[in-house]
Amino acid sequence: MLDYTFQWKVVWKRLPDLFEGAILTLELTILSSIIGLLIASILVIWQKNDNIFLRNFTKTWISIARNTPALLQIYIAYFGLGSFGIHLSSYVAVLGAIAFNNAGYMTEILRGGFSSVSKNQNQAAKGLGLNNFQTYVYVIYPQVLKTVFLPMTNQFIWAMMGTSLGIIIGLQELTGMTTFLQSQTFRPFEFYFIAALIYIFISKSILLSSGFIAKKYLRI
Amino acid sequence: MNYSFTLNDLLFMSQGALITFVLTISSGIIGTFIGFFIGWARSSSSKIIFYLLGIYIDIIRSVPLILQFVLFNSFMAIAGYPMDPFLSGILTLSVYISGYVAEVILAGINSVPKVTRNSSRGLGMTYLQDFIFIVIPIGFKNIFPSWTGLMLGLMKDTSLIAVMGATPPELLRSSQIIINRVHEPILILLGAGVFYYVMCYLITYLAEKYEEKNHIKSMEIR
Repeated sequence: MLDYTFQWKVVWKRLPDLFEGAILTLELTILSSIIGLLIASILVIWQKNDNIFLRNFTKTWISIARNTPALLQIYIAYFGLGSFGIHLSSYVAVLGAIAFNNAGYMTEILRGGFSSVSKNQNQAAKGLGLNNFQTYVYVIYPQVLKTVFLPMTNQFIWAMMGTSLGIIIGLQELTGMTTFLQSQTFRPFEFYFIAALIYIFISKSILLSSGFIAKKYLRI
Repeated sequence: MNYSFTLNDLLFMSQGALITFVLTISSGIIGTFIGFFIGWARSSSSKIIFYLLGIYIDIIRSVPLILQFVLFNSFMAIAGYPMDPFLSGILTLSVYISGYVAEVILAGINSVPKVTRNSSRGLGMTYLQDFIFIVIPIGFKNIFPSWTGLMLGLMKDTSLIAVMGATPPELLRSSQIIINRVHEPILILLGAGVFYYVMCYLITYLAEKYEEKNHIKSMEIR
């Protein structure tokens, strides 16, 4: 059936290039998750703000981020913003779009975390004489972190998969680099297979380490 | 010659939306079917089956969809059965979503209390009867909201099929084709966004109506 000889040597030779792509993927994943988390923690506060403009802004952000494909968001960042004279590099476009998408999903996760902390905790902390900031840092936030930690890990892995869309606008992260290498060597299956293994390795190590942290420090 | 957005382009885009819909429904049905059996098999008491299928799910969930498309396509090519990109796209999407559906199905089966199952067996039902008449109706209610969430995600993921150049172009690809002619990227991309938004909204709305009618408690989607 398989009339094909696999040539793994070619891949072996170009492995450093693949790792270079993998590092870019990791970098994009971490940056977009951090930016997304920062935006999400602002949005989740704005969601309950009395200002109707801020509330609706948050609502719009979340529904757009969640109801359109990430690829469309990347297209808009890369091709669409050009109409306004904003020309982003493919790196910035992918980073921005994935961070935008992440922020939408993370806000929902955070909202779930905050709603899981009962109101009594807040009042009890006030009753013990803690001020707003102390209540937030010492009482509310540790509990939110506990409920939010594992869904956030999932989102983190999703972000890693999302960065693979960078290939479409010519970014050389792991998928893009693999495509570039296979077009040079005409060995598509071998290269994509190794790239898939690297992806599995990265996401597995993220999952394992987050499981370790959850067990050891958060006692989930 | 005037290169402006015409009614024909709008028609072309709605055709793309239709293709997106067809892709979603066909791979959603196949994927749910595969995922149902995988989830069911994982709920059995055999630990070996549980871990073997767990590896399958793990791999599917941690390799980007784009890579899966390309891998499947090139594998079929070297196996000597080159496939139409559209067809292999549907197959890959089905396999991809089946990994997620299997987890949801497993959660649904486990959500049925052990006592309920034991008592149905105690009433003289066979395993199959217990599964069909007790587990499925109860489990279905529990997982319906997260299943709809998965289908929404699937619809957004169909846009990636364009990478392989599948020929009846779906929504995003068709809007890109129009952009190449009209050179109004922001307008057309926003239009495509509206299309996606409306389709997602429609599904969410219908699902919510169904949940209300059947007293399904709305859980957090995804």
